[in-house]
Amino acid sequence: MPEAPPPRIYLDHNATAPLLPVAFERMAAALRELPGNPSSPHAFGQAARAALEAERARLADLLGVSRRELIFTSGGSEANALVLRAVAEEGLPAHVIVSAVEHPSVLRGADWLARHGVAVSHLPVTERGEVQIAALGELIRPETRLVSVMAANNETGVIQPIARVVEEVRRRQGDRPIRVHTDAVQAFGRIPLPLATWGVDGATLAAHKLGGPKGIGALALRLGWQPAPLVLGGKQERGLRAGTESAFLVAGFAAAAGWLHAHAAEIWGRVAALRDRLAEQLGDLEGFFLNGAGAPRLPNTANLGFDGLSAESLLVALDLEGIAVSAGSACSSGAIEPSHVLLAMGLPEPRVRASLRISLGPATQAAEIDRCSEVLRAQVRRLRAGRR
Amino acid sequence: MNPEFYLDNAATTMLLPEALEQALPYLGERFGNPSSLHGLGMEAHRAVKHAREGLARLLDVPPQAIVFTSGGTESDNLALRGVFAAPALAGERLLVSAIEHPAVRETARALAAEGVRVERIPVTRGGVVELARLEKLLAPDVRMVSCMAVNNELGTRQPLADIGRLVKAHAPRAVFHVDAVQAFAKERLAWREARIDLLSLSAHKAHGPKGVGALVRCAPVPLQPWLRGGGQEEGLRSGTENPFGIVAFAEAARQAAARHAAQQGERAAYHARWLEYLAGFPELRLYRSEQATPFVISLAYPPLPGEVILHHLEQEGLLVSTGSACHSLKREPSDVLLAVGLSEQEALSSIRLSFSVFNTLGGLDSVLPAFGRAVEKLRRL
Repeated sequence: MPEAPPPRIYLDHNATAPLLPVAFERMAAALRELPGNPSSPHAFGQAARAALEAERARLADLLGVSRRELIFTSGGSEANALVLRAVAEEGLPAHVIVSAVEHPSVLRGADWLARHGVAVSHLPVTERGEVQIAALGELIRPETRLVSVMAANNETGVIQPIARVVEEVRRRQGDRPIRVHTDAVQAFGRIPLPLATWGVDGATLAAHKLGGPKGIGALALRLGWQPAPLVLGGKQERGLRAGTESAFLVAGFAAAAGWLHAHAAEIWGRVAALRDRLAEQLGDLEGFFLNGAGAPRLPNTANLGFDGLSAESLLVALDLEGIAVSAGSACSSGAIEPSHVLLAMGLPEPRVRASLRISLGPATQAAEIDRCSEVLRAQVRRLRAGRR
Repeated sequence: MNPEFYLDNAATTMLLPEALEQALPYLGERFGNPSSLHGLGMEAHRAVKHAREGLARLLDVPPQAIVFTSGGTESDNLALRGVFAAPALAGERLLVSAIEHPAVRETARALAAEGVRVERIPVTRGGVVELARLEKLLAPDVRMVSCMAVNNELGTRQPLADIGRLVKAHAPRAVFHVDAVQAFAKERLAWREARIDLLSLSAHKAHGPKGVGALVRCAPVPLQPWLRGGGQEEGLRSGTENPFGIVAFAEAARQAAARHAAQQGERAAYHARWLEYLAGFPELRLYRSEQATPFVISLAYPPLPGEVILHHLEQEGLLVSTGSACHSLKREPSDVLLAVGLSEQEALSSIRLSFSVFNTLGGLDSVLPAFGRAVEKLRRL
């Protein structure tokens, strides 16, 4: 058994967030009281079904969609995979556009499509990390079926202009509508997500990035869009996702999302101020840089570094002090590869390798930020001194 | 509710308290993402590794053979898709038994639409794959054979060792996949003897939590991922791993294995006592098979639809199922029951009693009379 962890300062919420107490309570209750299979016809099953549907309605309300427009998946990666792969079922020729800074689940899904005869274009981003709307217009062609642009980036926190993406797509599309999908995993619960106003056809969500449990996510799908299911079997989730549904995971998901939405105003203003305080405390150090500066960003994310100092060495120094941050995204198990997101923004590779992601959560305290910058300052000085 | 009265353990089982306790810290302070490189991430990574090794020991496979998934359905999808996405020769064949779970049946149907030649292996009235027919279907162009270990609706055990022997003799390149969701933690999975290549498992059918399962690669067959992205699970299944679910899954499996030997006598006696009791109701049609496991009893009362029987049993506190839970909300006879020769009326009247370790001989003293009272009421309808 691993020993009890030391006191920690957790600044890696974009990798995963601690379960919110309200989510834990709801899950514990559901594990006790709703052990049935929601597809079972008896009281046990129907109790689980009723709870599941109530939570679905709650989540749908938060998103401003109807509950029939929300299907549960095992997480964000699966929801993204479903949307991408479904394009292959619609026949060729087909063309999809994904932004160059998407999560690997979108990019690898697009690679798979490319191997199956679908043309794939990568929408470039500016040096601030925002997608280039003018380039989008040029990429759209008659056989374009899907445009997928994330709502906010996991590494930089840069918020994409989804309303303008949709507007541009609608302006350029022909008789056959082009589906617009947004991976909103990092945005959900942190910034408003007006899916209906934006007019997107689909949005991907994951519970564990916002203080819900791992193993559950959702796809909000505008009614009328019936993509081919990815996981086949039973007829759960309107036939779009087979497999026994989990009332306790859904309960945790809805509880976390509900709590965050209720407290969003007080939380994120405070968190954004802390994020900026961190940048200010580090700004005078030699070679300091902040990626995505100037673009609208999630209130909790800062992607920063110091020219000439590898992110890995900073990450290790912080970890030794019990401070958890990340370099790049958390999904590529093992090796740290240069971030495709920062490369797409045109950053030179040395700067990419120097970039740290610091992502705050609703409970992050000023003292934790101060401690983080103190450790970073000391480490930067030590490394610079050693170099001279 | 009294767990003795829950007779729908093939649909889902109760989470074992020991499994919950073991996994609970991963809903609390040990919340890290196993892919994160800092201490919290490493801690979660170690927990997943430890659970993987534990499960691997129970199954007698190397740890890297285990690919954690979101459940049995995804495991079945990955098995079939994963094999047929690997470089294939045109016109290759997939053989699936006639009584597979919808996760295999529907995936096979999708593959058929994509050009794979899918053929059904018929079963006997006893719910067992017809070995002679299988042998005729087998040829070197068979890429994969999928046959479950224990059927979810009938509880019949398949002759996996015979199937495996035939597969490897007549289609040496074929991958032998076994959906062992209903057998896992109940039956011994002698995969080596049966020459099984891929095994699908689900946690929640074996007192683990919902939302987690595994595909076990007993042999290093070439497999392509079905969920792509961050490259977790050695690239075979992307998506943030679920340490809570994985730890609870492994612990539930460990507990089941520990009590397995001691349980065998009680399981057989429990089943026998049901059969003895049911013999007193000649109007009930019991599904019989020489390959029955002691975990499922399928029966019908043909004048009445299964829903009515279920309802009356529920009034006595007994929870059972009609057909399998995945398609029991619509009134169509189960394909599986038709495949073993039940008439449509019999199939529509069928209910399933399915048991777990929480159903004990002692509990039958109150469970059987409750069942009897329900049948008395049904007789008067």
